[in-house]
Amino acid sequence: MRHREPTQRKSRRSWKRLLLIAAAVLGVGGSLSVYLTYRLMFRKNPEAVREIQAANQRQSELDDLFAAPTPDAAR
Amino acid sequence: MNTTTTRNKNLFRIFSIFSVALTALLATAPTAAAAPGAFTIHSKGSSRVTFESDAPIENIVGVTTAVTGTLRVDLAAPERGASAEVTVDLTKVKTGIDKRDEHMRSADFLDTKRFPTTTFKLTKIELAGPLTAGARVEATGHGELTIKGKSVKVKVPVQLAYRKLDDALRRLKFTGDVLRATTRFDIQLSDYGIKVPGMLGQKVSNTVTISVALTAVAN
Repeated sequence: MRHREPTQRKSRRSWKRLLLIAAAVLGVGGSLSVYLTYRLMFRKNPEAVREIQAANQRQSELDDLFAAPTPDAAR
Repeated sequence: MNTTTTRNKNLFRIFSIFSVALTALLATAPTAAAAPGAFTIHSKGSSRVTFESDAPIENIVGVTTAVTGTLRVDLAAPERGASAEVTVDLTKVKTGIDKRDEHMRSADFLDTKRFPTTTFKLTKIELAGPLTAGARVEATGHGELTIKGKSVKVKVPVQLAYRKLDDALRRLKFTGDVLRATTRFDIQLSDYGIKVPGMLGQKVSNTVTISVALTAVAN
């Protein structure tokens, strides 16, 4: 009996440790996959971003042009 | 007789000189501002509408240049009979993220399958000063904004600027005089029957800021 007890305790500790590690791996892995899926689904479309930037650039040019004095205003 | 004839000839000569001088004077006098004119909104990316939602977690900005319409303004008397009809193609609004654009167009929000456009009809404009070429003037526009089939009367601040065709405009590919109108105002999505789901309230605001920059070319 005596030399069985330490073996039994060791065995229980090993299982507990394994379960803890498995839970940690699943937790981290699961969270990571949810995060990556979200990022993939909601990733930016580079072409759309370029279109938006081009539109904003055009507006800046027009804003600058209409802020500049014209010969009509100078008269 | 000779004296009378000579006097008549002199009078006629004086009258002719006077007529010519008057004609020359009128020809060189500054012309009055343009008669009532129609302007077509320039569709080649020169007009832009922006929708901005500033929620606690996320700031979303949607942009489109798919803007069409006409403006009618009497440049000599802009407050008299000014009108405009502007249409924005909501299917072309982009936030930069396709999935988000898809959700925005869904029945939960804009429902663009049934209501692909939003329109603004200007019914009245009040100017703070004269609208002259080369100068900017503040104004207030009164009109009706229709989103998702629902129309709401709005009053918006507007900045107007008018520029005659010159080399600078030609470089930007314009072919006529240009009228530019810009405005920025807030709307409540709930006023147009658009409900922001409770869960998304932290990501989408009920208050949306609309910025409009219209560039219209004289017909």
